[in-house]
Amino acid sequence: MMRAILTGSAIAILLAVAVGLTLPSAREPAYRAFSASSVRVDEPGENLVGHSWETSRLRREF
Amino acid sequence: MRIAPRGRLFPILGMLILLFLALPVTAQPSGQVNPTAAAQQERQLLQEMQKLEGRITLPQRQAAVLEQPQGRQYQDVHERLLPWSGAIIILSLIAVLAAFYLVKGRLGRDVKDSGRKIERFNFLERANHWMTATCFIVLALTGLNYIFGKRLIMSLVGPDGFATWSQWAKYAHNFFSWPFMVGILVMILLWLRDNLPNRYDWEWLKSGGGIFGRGNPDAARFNAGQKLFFWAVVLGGIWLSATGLLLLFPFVWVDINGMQVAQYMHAGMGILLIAVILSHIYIGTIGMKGAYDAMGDGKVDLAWAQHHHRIWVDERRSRQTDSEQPARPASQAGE
Repeated sequence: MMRAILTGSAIAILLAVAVGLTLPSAREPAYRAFSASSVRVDEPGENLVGHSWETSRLRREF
Repeated sequence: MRIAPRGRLFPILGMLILLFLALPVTAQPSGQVNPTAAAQQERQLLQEMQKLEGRITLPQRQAAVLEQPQGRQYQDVHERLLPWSGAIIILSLIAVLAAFYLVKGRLGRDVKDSGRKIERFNFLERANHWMTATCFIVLALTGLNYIFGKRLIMSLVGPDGFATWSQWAKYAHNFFSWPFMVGILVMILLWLRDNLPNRYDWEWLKSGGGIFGRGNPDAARFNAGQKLFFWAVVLGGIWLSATGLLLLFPFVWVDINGMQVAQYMHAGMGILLIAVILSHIYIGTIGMKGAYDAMGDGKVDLAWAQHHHRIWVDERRSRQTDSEQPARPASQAGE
């Protein structure tokens, strides 16, 4: 009585696990899709850091 | 030259002093940003362009969307329309099924068993049915979590517990959707031919499957009610699969607004299909005597089959009779 139910459920779980292992390689995770290795901020006078932004000065302060 | 009387000079002087004091509040020194002015420009831009986009260097250009007013409609649907309509549809259906059971009881209970069993569904049909059913249960529960979880589960397990459960529920929804699609395809291959309309369907529908008329209407392998279930599951399943794929691969085929529309269509059909499947579960278990056996061990009592699917039993008998025709003698077979 239960053989078809157990077989069907087992196949569903097996296929879902197989998809779980393969699907991530076909899709790009958000942390990678929505990021870049570098960023360029134009109009530096209008951004949050302001005109006085200097790498050397920031290093001294922190 | 006329000099103003002293009584009139004091109010004018007072007003001038007040105006001078108020100046620093209203006037902006040059170089400072006026956020209100920027907001005005933004509003005009939004009205004219329907959405605001910036310039970005990220590989995904969709991340440039800053404002998209359809998002507010989406929030309205997600927070109000979906939970309310979903709860009303599902709870009403459960109430109707309970009332039907109380009034009509278990259908087919008067049919006496013959003691002889015949095969109704083979192993492949049953295994595929239960595979699809397993997937549907997982998809329905995890899908309902999307609509009702915040309201029902979060108060029980807390925000952190709910976040963890929802994360796993999302994985399960994404992964079990694939065997579900496979199951729907196999169902089409196995059962499409027997679910095409035939001349018995209209009579079956007119008598409500025997509920309104006298006697049980004739039916072939599937009666009109089962055919309606089949087409609801197949068409609803294809609908869910198509809209689900749009959501499973974000921004591949549609933009953010397209994904919101896909979400409405996916969730709306999901609720309808849950209602359909609840009816199917009802009729396949407590609603009708002998119905579960067909999908349990695949065999049904001959009397049950003749009562509900007389044409199918007759066709099956005639096929068996044809196949039981005496074979050619072995000596002739090799000639």
